[in-house]
Amino acid sequence: MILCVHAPDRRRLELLRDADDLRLGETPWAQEFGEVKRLYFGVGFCQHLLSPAEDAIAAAELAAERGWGLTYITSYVTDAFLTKTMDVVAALVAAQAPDLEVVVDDWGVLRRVRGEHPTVRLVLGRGLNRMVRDPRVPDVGPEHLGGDEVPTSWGGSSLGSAAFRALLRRFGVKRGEADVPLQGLTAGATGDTGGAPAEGMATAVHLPYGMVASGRICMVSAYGKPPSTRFVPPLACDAPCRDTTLTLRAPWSRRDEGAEALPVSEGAFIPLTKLLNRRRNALPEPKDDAAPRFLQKGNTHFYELDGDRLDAALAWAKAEPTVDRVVVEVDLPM
Amino acid sequence: MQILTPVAGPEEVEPLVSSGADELYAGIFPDSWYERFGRGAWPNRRGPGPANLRTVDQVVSLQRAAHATEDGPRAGGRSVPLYLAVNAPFYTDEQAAHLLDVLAEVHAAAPVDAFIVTDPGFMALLRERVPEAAIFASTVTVALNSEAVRFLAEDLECSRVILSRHLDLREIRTIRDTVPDVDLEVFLLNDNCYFEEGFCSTTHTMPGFGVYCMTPWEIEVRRDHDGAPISGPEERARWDFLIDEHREFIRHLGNRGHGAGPTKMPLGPCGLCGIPELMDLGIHSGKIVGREASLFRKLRSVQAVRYVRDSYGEGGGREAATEAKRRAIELRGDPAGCAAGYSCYYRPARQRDLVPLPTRPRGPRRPRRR
Repeated sequence: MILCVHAPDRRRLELLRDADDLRLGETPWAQEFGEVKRLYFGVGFCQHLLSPAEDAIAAAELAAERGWGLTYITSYVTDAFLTKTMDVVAALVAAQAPDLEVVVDDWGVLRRVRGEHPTVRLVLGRGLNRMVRDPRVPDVGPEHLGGDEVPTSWGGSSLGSAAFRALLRRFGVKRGEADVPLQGLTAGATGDTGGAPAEGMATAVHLPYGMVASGRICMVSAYGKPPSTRFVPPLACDAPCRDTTLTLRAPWSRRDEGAEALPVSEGAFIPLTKLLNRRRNALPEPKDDAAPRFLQKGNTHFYELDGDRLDAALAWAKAEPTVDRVVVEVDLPM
Repeated sequence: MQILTPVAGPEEVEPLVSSGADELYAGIFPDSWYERFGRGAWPNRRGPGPANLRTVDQVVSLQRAAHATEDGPRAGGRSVPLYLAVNAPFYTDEQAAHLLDVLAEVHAAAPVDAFIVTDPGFMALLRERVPEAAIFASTVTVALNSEAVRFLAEDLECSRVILSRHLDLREIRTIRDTVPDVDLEVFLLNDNCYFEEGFCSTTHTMPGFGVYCMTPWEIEVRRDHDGAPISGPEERARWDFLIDEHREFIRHLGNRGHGAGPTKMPLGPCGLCGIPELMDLGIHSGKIVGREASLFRKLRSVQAVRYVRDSYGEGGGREAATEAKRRAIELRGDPAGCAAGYSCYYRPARQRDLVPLPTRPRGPRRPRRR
């Protein structure tokens, strides 16, 4: 198992460079995987957070200095940002970034990189590796599913499909990225090779943050904007999300704590969407609170694995034959 | 531009087609799938219920009605193509094998005109099992740029690409200009998403919980540089306003509680004003969303799209476009909603001389940067 660290942008890259322990003191669970061998750089969730080429080259220089490989993460993009993304990839190739890989979350980026830089190794990103990352799943039971059990496919992923892996190989993709959702993944979720490793696809697992949902409409970017440009995909953005994190407190209680899962009226569930938005300026202390919490950075919702869930994710990663990397996200990956 | 309409059964075909539907799409949640994988695992983007057919026989009946075959209920009527949605984000090997059996049975009994698919691995399997079947790339595949469209159309051989819901007219124009030979489909009416549908990893909707993006969160805003919650009254007021507006926006995306306007037009997301530009771009098909909706809502939606499309005509020019948009706004009967723009699929398509666009931002202004 190889340990990797992720710096989404130049600021986090410099923090990493300046820290003697590579900030791994903030994630003590990562230390069992030994020394860092690879640097991940970039953001996979928003095209407006595309780093300039000089920042990507700075990441390549840091990686080369430390003897690491570099994995450059790209986002899903429109045509305008596809060109900019390709400029950064071209700059990294020209700078001979060490052992360069490019993570793609857009079929167009995949096609262009493959066509223009056939020597660059392609990696399927977390967005295109589809899985159920719904943070409500741990609090869902048969009472929500007409008496049915939670389906086992909620513990699977796209990479678990042999046909999908074969198709990826056809298009030059050699690796995949994965989250571990709150409900965990089943054995073989990223490819049950049945003892034939050549059929599998090497996978990197990102911990402890996982993506719930992402999109081009951004609430945080709409801050202070007039109605005509509010809640449409922004043409340009000065990234207020770089300094803003929203904590989302769920209006339901944790099922495993035995609390009532949802508001119930005469035996019938009231859809949560019928409730009013219960906005607060300060949430109760987490230790006194039975409601799950999630995080929003810009256009993307995340969950954080901690405690038993993090332990279970680590155990799963160690047992899964295709997982050969753990990527440490010291901060939210945006 | 063809009008693509959802359909839930053969009895809906005649009213929809006579109202103007040019193409139909349906979904299937087979009983055999339900028994094997349960209620929680969906074979397409809707769960068990009115949005989906349950058996191959039902698909056969629907296909006969759509194609107006001699042995069907619409013999001699206008034949329209029928597409079947099997667009779950991914399938396990076991699910894919089961679904392939069902689709092969459908194809043998009454071939539909295309399958709408997301999972590229499943596309490959389907092509292998039913080589002559046409495949459309679902919007869940996420085609945001012309290279992605090329990948889906050329490399994966999809005969149509359904574009992302959030592309604006300028971005669609870029794609159209770059890949003029690919059939493109866009969204026109009802049910928008807050997130990019292909990058939303939730279960869409869950009994008791509702739709994920409509969850009424309690929200705390923190600044990263010091980790402290925002505290100043002015800044708090600005965030309160934004959160309230965001809630209102989400309500619009969810069809404002399935409300209807004075002309009984659904008041949900709407792209009627974009029809002239989309027709000029040569977009092949415009989709009405809502397989689970009532027949009345589907009919009203088809009639509205047809009314605007026909009033613009082919290559009608600016005056015809303005007239078509004026009619769209009048038909919708919701000038305040049109002015807010939160329901617009193509917000820039609105014309200032037709819609009373707000000239000043409502709510607290953002502070000037020093």
